Amino acid sequence: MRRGIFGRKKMEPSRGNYPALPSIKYGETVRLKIDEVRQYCFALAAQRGYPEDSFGMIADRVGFLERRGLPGFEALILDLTTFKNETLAERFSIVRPNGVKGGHCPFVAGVQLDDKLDEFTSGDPYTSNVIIAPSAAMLLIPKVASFAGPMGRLVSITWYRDDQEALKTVLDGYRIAHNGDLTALANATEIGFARYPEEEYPIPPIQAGQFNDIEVSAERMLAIQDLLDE
Amino acid sequence: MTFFDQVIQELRSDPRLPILLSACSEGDISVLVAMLDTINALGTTTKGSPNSDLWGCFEDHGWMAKSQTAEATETNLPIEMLSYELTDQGRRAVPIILSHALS
Repeated sequence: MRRGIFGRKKMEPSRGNYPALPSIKYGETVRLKIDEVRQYCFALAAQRGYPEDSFGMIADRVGFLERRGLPGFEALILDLTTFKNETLAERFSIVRPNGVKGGHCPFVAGVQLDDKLDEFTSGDPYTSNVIIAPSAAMLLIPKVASFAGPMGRLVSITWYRDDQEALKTVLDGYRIAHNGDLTALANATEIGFARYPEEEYPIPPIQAGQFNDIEVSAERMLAIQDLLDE
Repeated sequence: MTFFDQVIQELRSDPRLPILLSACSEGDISVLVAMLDTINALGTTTKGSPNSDLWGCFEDHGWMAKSQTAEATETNLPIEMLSYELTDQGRRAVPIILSHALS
């Protein structure tokens, strides 16, 4: 509890009810239901100091990825541990404290896409509209899907590493397919967006979610513990 | 004409769609959303329910289809159960419908 202005008690933002962290040893793994993963993400977002109305969004993005077999939980944990010494204000800037551009907050990168996604995904399908990749760039995927669904769009995302195309992703509101090196989802340096040319090419076998639980290593669970205890 | 335009045109030209959608509860709609979110999802409902009326209408538009697998499953219940799955077209059309008809 902390004091707000005029001496009134002000509640700390709730971290929600997340499951007790299981007691496991190094080398072991634990299975978590996707809903449990969401609850941890909610708590981690609150602990990091993200705006309260973004906790659920962050949890849902990770859940969307994990339902589709993509390591969103690992991406979030790595992001929070790698940049824990940067303030959120520093994370929200596209320029890192060392002057390098990119590797900024993936959720702010999503907000910055809000007024661009329509233009990026409605024009020439062979022109990739490229942005500098944030850290944990795969966390942008659910953002793009939430735009594509109500618009009935098929979106093509190209993941670049040092100017080289590493991976292509095609998605609509709920379904996704990839072609290339999936590690680019975690370490892309640039990301391009375009409309998928469905009038000329068959739609790849995009698929909706299918996983209800995931396996998490002891190392990751201990990282969660450390982050929540800070 | 884009896929989006086609779906909006169908929404505007079929007066049943807004009526059937408005008859559905949040719970009914959440079943559709869960089906969209899940690969090979099968939705089951009772004949005459708001969902079965809506899904039947979606079937007319080619967005849902009665499940062939489920037809073989008989129950002893005194109600008729219907099972549907989303078609490929439906997986793109239904999010448009939900977004525009319910907003």
